[in-house]
Amino acid sequence: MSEIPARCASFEADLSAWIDGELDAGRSAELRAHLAACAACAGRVEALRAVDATLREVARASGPAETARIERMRAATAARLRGDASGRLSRRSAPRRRRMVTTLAAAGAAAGIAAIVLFAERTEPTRETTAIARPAPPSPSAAASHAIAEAEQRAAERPASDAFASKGASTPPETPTATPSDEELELASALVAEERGAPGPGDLATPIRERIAALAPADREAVLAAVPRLRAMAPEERAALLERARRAREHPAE
Amino acid sequence: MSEVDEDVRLMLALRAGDGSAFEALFRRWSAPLLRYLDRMVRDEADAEELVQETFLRLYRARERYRPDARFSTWLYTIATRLALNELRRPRRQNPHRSTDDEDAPVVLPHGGARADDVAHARRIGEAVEGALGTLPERQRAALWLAAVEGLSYAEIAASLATTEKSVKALVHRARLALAERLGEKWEART
Repeated sequence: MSEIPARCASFEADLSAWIDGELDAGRSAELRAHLAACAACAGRVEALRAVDATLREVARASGPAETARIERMRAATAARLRGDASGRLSRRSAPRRRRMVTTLAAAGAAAGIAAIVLFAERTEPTRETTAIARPAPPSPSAAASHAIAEAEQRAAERPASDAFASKGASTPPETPTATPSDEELELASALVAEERGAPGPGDLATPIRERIAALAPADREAVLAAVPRLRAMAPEERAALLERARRAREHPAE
Repeated sequence: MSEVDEDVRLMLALRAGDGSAFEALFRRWSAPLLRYLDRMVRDEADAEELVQETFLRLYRARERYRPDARFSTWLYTIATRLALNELRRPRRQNPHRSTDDEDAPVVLPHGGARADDVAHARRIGEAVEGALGTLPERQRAALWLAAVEGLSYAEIAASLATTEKSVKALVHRARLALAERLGEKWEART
């Protein structure tokens, strides 16, 4: 370990900041000039950079091993967001608590948390769960919600909705019900937005469910048949569809 | 749309009630958070727990989110504070906790570390990671966030609730300590 020349010592504290691009232009230029003239300091900068290269390599190499852990955390986070206090990850195993979800939902977990049903759905895609697990809305629309759940269950049981639900299915498969109208799509979309955690001002959610419940049975089925497809869409895709439907309704001539 | 904008967009969507935005944010950020927290708490199960907790807090705080700070700063601030709290728990015996004097002058050996072999540095990543674990926790956080996650000193200062000047010293001392360890490895090899 040799003595540090004063000139070098004056730059020492700035070496890392320089590597990180945190020096101002003036100081940066001075340091560059010094490094060009001082092999010892240039060597130190290289040694410091080697640390970064090593750390990044370490980070990169650990990536693949993390996949299973991330999946486990995702399931556990979803469970906890549903308000499932016992869903706290029991360290090494991610519990699959489908039944717990249902129970909690029936108990009326906070409406905002309904959004997370979707999140959990990816982890464990079971249509019957999502149909059942939707938290019961406030009592005025309980009946409407029940009707929706029932109809949705029927819709879910049709093989066609599998293809609807599968991501990337660009063309809807044949269904026994009519293709939903724009207004029906709008309703379905609003329903999906609501389940994704848009409880909004509270007066928004109930009318959607009631409006759907008030439809003729065939129309209601058409709305609900569209729900899985809408669920599979990215938010902006859904928003665009909704906008088109709204325009079509407001300007039917176009 | 830049990656940064995408985070802001997702966070605003989440604030507006779009639950799918939460999943997207989880997908984007869980891996970097996990590798950071692995290094911070040095226990896989604890790190996983803290990743979850970070996202839960993010979710609960969604309505307070304002797009005036980078999303990553916000996220790492939550994660860092959780990690530092975790390390202060009594069951943790961290011998380095109190040695982290940010205002002490940086004293360096000169010419101690060999600088010319990045490829070899990769091969001894394990040793460096071990050395990383022996650093004081704030140095460890600062270096990882700067060198691996690419946060600015201002962002790291926010995460650690300190000044940029302190971050500059923390990062430099951490990097030097690891460079010395790398240097020793090289010396030992020759």
